[in-house]
Amino acid sequence: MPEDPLSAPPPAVRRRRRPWLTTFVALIALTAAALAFGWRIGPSAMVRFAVRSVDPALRLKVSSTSLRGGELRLRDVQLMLRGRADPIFRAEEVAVGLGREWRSGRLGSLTLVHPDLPLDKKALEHFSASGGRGGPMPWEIADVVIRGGHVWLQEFGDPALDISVNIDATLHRVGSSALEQEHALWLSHIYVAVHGSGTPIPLFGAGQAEARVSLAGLAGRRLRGLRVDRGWLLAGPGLQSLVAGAPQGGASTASGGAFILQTLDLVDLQVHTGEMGGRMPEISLRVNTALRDVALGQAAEDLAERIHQVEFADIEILSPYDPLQRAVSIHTIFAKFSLAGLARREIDELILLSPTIYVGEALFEYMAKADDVRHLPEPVEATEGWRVNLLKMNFGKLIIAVGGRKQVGLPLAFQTTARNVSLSSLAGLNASLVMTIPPDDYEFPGYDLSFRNVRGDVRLNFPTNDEQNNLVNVVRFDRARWRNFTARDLWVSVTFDLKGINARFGGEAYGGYLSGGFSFFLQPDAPWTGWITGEDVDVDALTQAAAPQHFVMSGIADTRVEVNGSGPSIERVVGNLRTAGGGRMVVNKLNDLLDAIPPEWASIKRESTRVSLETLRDFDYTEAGADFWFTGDEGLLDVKMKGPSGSRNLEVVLHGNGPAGTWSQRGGGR
Amino acid sequence: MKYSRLPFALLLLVAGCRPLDVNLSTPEPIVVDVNMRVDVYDRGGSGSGGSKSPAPPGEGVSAADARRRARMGDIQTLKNSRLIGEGRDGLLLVREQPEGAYGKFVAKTVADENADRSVMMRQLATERSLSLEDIQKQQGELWRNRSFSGEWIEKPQADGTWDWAQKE
Repeated sequence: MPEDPLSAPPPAVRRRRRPWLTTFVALIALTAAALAFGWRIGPSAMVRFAVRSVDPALRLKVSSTSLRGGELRLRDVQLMLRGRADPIFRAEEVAVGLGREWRSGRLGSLTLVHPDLPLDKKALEHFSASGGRGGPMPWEIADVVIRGGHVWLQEFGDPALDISVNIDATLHRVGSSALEQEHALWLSHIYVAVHGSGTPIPLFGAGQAEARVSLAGLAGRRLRGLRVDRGWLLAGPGLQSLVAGAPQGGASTASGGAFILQTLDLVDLQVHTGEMGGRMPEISLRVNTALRDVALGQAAEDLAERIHQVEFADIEILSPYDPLQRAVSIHTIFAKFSLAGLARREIDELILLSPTIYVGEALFEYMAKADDVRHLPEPVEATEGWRVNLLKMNFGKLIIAVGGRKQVGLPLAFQTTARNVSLSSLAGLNASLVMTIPPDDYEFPGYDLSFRNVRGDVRLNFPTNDEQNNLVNVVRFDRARWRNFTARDLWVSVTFDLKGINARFGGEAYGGYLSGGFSFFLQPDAPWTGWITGEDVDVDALTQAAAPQHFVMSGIADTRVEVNGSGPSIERVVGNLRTAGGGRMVVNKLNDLLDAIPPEWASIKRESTRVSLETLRDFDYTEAGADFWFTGDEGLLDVKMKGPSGSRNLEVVLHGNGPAGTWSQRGGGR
Repeated sequence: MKYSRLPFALLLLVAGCRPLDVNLSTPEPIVVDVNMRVDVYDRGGSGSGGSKSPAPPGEGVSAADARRRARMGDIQTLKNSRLIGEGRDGLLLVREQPEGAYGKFVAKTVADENADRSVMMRQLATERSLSLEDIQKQQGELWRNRSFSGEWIEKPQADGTWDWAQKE
């Protein structure tokens, strides 16, 4: 090219330009050489080179690399750790969008498709030892997208945990210039197990969670927030070993420094107690809690020590054989507990409001099955059982629930307070519970029945020894009234077993003493039998109460009545009455006839009628007895009396309308 | 003389027209022995004893129950007379059969009762998935427990045998 003399520089300038030109040419040459080298080895080699330069122990494997439209795509990426066969990082694809400002260290985007980060103990130790050897991040990335990521940490932390979590995230402005930028990570399928010496023990899980992090926070080992919704926690041996093995006075991450959770929110966390032994129902507790500035390793301990209260409503324990038969129903349960306590199988406080115990077939079937050694999964040591430090029951009702599903009965109120109650088995629980019936009056208008000042203790004893399977209670009454009949200073003692409910009772009535018993047999048609005897009973008071307008009898008598029934029906009655000494019988009903004697009758007729009726009406006896039996609509009343004025033998035969073949001459007495 | 007696006669006539009180009371009680039998028949209507209609024929449990309800009075009479007792197999047994027609009645009543009890026990065995033998044992125990004092029952002995005894 010809040189323009006008534009040509002077010779001195030409001399100064020569070094610059040389430098420029050298740079061009170097760039060309670099480009030629890069072109020859390809982008993947460049990335591999970069990885190795960051951490010489790392090896990158990429199946294919492409650079199109300013985006570098790596497919089937694997990051290997020296001395380890399996990759510590896998990704289906890693895409790096260079963006417009890549030259100034700001990349456009980084997309990780199905990244998988399985880190075992060795890998974790490697990175812990390196302490993040890469130093401050040299670039800033406008958008980081993680799609379908998964992290698996094995034996992470101390005590060692196995953690599996899926991650999806879209992070904006990731880099050293936005260290305080908060990013949200969407976590799902979270699973944490305690990595003990044996098989890892499941501890915690959640369907989803949200973690909030910042680079500055991560650099300072702080996680801004973690919220877990509807997770679950097994308060079993895993938690127990975790709490027992937690370092005291602060925790450490795998790197040895504290990793702080600035906020940890657990929402609707279901805490499961697992098998409680003795076939006690598994308890599931719902917990909402928030922890602030807690070390990651300390979180379990802090969480464990916090007292939680949960409420359960409308709990029912049903018969194991008939789901329509209730054994126990509880309106409300308040449980106060700590996870550490649960891990130790302890519940701090259990308050049961309005529990109803249906003492009947369902309860005993449940108790029998619960404590049946053939059904127990494992023998439970006394020291291993569940315990409640304080158990309270208020506004309880105790119902003698015979009659299958009908569960008829008279409710008695009770309350109880017990400490250090073992829940390892129902037998142990029962032995600890004394249900106090507070003094109170009871009215049952439907039965025309009332009790005054009822009080007593009810203790459920259900040992495994069949011969002693029972529940023994003594309930006392100041006064009881049924229709016109009254008794006072009564007591009732009840025993229960799988075959039925047996009771004895006694009390003072009508100048004498009544004693009796009854048995309800736990069968579908609720058969029962009972008996009552009266000694030295003032018959006058008794008949005055029974039917004074019809019949009054004075004297002292002993009586015995036996009854069979089924459900609410009386099937048959057999009884007798024997007087001790004399007395007087007045059939007041005959007064009606005396009053009805027509005045127009002749005197002699009227008088003879009067004398006859009064002879029948009034009778002074020296000895008297009666036998009677009734069954259904048939029966016999046989009364025999002797006195100075003769004898009275009265036989009343009730004939039912039975089938043909019924023997006509009824009256087979004793 | 003829008329002097007239006022006296009139006085007697007037006195005879006034009713006189006749007191039959005696200073000592009248000794009267009264033997009275009252038969009360319930014809229809509802009663506690269940159906008033003749026990229905049939083989079902409900029919058997109805027959048993209707038969309860006879069974109780026989128990009171100590003629029959509750066996260990849930069935009745005639301990002492009277002569003649009444004896035949006793035997037939017990046979009918046992037939109906068997229907009921087979039904229970089906419902509870137990053998008939087990149900019979259970029912035998139930009947023993529900028997009244003095009634005959077949009791288990300490040595595993069974013996008849009157319930205490």
